[in-house]
Amino acid sequence: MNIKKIGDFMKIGVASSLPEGLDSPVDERFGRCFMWTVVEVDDNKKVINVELYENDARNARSGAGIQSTQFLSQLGCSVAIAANFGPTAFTALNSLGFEIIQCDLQLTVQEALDRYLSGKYKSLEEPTKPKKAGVS
Amino acid sequence: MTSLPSEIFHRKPVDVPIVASTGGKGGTGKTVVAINLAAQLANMGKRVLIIDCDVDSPNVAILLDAELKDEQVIKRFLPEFILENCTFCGKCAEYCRAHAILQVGDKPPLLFPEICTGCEVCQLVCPSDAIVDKEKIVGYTFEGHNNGVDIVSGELKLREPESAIAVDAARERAFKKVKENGKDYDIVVIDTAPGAHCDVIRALQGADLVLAVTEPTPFGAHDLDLIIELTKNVMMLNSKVVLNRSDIADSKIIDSTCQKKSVELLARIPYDDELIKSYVKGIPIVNYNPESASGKILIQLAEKTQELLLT
Repeated sequence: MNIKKIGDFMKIGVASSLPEGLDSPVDERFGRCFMWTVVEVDDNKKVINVELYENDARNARSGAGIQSTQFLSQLGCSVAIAANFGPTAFTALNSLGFEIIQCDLQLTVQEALDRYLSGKYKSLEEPTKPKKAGVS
Repeated sequence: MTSLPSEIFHRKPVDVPIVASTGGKGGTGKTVVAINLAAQLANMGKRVLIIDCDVDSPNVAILLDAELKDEQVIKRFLPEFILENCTFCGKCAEYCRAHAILQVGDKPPLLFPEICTGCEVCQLVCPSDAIVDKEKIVGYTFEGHNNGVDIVSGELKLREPESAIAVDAARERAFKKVKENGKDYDIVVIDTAPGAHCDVIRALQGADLVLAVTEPTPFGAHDLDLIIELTKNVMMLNSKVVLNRSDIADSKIIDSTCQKKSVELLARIPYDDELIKSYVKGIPIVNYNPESASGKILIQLAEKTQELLLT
């Protein structure tokens, strides 16, 4: 029998603006978000593991979206959630077959996750136009 | 910073005196000083070559009313992946400081060319010769002539991130011209971009005299402090100050910066409507109205430059 363990299920990388796990607000920006909350959900869409990572790309001079994509992909994520995705991040995520989920502003990670898992969001087909871009 | 080997900033590709106009702050009159210096030195019988190293917005030819000709392209490195050689090791993506390469698992590397700076590190770290140079055009160089001055100008294409490449190309073309006509040129004048970044550093390399052009404002004083720190204390180049629009405000602020940095204030150019008129007409003030208040000072500046570099 094939038994799945933690690490084998779907992983979702959520751009987060505080190190507070599921209670953190979702960050407005994908590539330059403050933290990553990486959530693993089982086949019944139940959260079975939450990990927090600092986003090394957030102060990068260039290519933050690419670096972030590389990072999430290496962790095994197949879904990315943020309030905005720039054109480079979009291309990078798309090239690796990510589901690119733009959530509403001012949600917590938990709320954004619930809406995604209930099928409220569809994967983006083109980049969004963020109000802020680059290092502020 | 004292451990930096300043000799690298003193290396000269040609045996002709070089004077450079820079200044940190934008809009102080760097180009006006450069073209008038060049034109007046030409009036004094010198063979002058001016290099426009402000490659993001090259204006020397406009202010000398010269037509730029003989376009040559500036190329730089752009990686191309040879997939049959690629082992998907990920080193190219890992070492790319601009994060212009995405490579995960057994997927082929993906380049984002608009982010790539052409640094070549991906090719250096690739263990399997899977990266070759697919050249990219990043700008152009031109030549021109007017007001007795030969011009070489560099121009960076819009949105290209590395202006130092175009500065190098403009200098290379100009110095090649000097070598070819070796005995004919008496002096080279260089106009730099504002700021104190690598493009300005490249432009100033080998300068025998650096003129930092500023204005009597707190902004001017602040940026003067920075550029003198770079040219005098880091690059160890002979640096002097030119104060433009010297009478629009109290110039004490610049005097005290010069004192603090132990640099000589070589010239004070007063605010002068005649200078504005000459600028609009594309004629150097030293030719348009040599008797004007600013014209006289710029003629003196050319004479001082001759004393410092050509005697």
